[in-house]
Amino acid sequence: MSKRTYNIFFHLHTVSGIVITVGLYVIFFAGAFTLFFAEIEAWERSRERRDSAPGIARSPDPIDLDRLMRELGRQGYELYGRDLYIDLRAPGARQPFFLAASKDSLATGQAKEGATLHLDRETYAVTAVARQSSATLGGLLYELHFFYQLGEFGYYLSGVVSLLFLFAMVSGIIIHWKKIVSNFYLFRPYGKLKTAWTDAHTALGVIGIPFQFMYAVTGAWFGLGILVATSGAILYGCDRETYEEAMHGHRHDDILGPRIDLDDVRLGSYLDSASWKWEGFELTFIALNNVASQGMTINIYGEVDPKVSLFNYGELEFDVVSGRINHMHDPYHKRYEEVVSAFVHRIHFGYFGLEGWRHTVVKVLYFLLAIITCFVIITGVLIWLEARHKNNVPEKERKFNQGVGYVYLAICLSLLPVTALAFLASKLMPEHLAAYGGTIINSVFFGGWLLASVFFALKRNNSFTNTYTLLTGGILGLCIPLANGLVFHIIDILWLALSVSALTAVWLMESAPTRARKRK
Amino acid sequence: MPANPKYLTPPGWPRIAKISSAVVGGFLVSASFHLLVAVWTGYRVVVLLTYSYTLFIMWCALMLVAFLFHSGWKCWAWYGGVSLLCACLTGLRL
Repeated sequence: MSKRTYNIFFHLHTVSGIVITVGLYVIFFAGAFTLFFAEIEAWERSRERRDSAPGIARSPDPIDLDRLMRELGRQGYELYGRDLYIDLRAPGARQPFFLAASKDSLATGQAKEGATLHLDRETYAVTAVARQSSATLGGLLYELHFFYQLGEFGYYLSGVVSLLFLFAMVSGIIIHWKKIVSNFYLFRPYGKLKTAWTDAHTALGVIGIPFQFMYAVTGAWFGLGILVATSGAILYGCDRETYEEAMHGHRHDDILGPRIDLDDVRLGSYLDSASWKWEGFELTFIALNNVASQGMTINIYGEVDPKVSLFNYGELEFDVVSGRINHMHDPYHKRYEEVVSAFVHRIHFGYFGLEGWRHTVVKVLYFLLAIITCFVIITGVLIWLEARHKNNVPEKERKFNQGVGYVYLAICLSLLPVTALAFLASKLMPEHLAAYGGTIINSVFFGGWLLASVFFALKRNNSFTNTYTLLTGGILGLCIPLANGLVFHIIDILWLALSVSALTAVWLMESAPTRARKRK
Repeated sequence: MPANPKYLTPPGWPRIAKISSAVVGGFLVSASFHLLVAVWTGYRVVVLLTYSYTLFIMWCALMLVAFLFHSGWKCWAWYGGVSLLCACLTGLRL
């Protein structure tokens, strides 16, 4: 590689990396926790779940849809033109489902708004879920993972960050290529600061290459998918609907037909025929579209034994009035076109059809790799700072770089103690404040994050920021299993491990200078 | 260790041309190339679904290549020309 090429790529790697530092760190940090989204949600709810007889597992009989429809009609729910979604995997005695707002422009009253409802699996009594802030800590971290607090803009921004991440990664591999093997075995923690960070940055960066490449591409796939869809639709006369239908086989026109009587259709028979369609097909999700209209459809999703294949899901869509199958995905036979999207989802979410402890092992590995990536991001900034901390760099520029470093490290590193604090807040929140849970969690998290970032940025000492965020993060993290009453749910164990590692790191850092001196 | 500035693009118009050719030009080449393959091979759906991820990989590679050009305008000429060609050939089969 010529000197010119090397210098150009080196510069590209530096600039693209520095620009996305904070965004990328937040994405990986929040994303690491989002891997355990379901577990965090269950952990947060564990108190109320203990109250409501945990012994009742979900009944083996599939849901009686016709009875549910009659019950909804009896309670005065206007169903015409609405969608209804039922996640059959929800645990507990109550089956939650969602009733979307009606697409009928003449709809009145409650039909104009979506509603989350609960169905008692035994008595078929339907109760509305009290309208409270649905924000949970799990939801907060999930949305933070693609900056959804900023709305659509945040979603696209996360896509741009992913693309730049891919760019930074590939340029990083190119400049490191010649020394990729030799430097992998090089670690000089007691040498100059810059060599310590460079060694850690390159060695851990190389370990993470496949993982990071996968996330850079799939992240862009999610965040910038709009570019693919808009340009791909050109081949279909710039019509997004036709394009989507060609790609995914779905076409949901929101043009409602005339009203039909739900007593004339037997929704249960569709569930039965779906269950019998493929051997070992377990239903997981039901979606009803355009309910009680001529264009009503029912989509039934399910899975077969994950040992059969990685893509063990299946789907059937029926036209309810005619009984015709609109389209289907066979869980046993899949073509390439059917699995592209599923594959991206599965590797991004770390779900490979494994259940139980096997699934947990995969998620723990993903979590570790995500934290390693956070570490690579931070060491990258430190190298950038250290390389510019020289006398030949103009004073003004040096001050600016230092300032950027203080702010970046303050924002990134304070995420650990603030997240621990938010977990504690969610567990220690008094019962009577539960209705304001969302507001409280959001204020604790974002308020705490802002205060901590400002504090550490004003302190202007990177070593101080590093030590004290790890220390407070570790101590707060250790309190989380205590606050949860030492039941050692997986989330408690996760925090225990994180806190112990953080505190060990602090202890090693504090003792490192003395040891280095002893060696001399 | 910072890169030697004598190899980098000077600020102002040359740098704007370079960056825009990398980001916009790179996207146009990658997108039009994929659309071209989609219409001429006859596997429209398969190619378009593959495009959903190869777009970003090819785009990234083209961005890197763009910075190796000695002038951003020259890069614009290449990328613009290639994407125009691909777009026209795609249009023939639409």
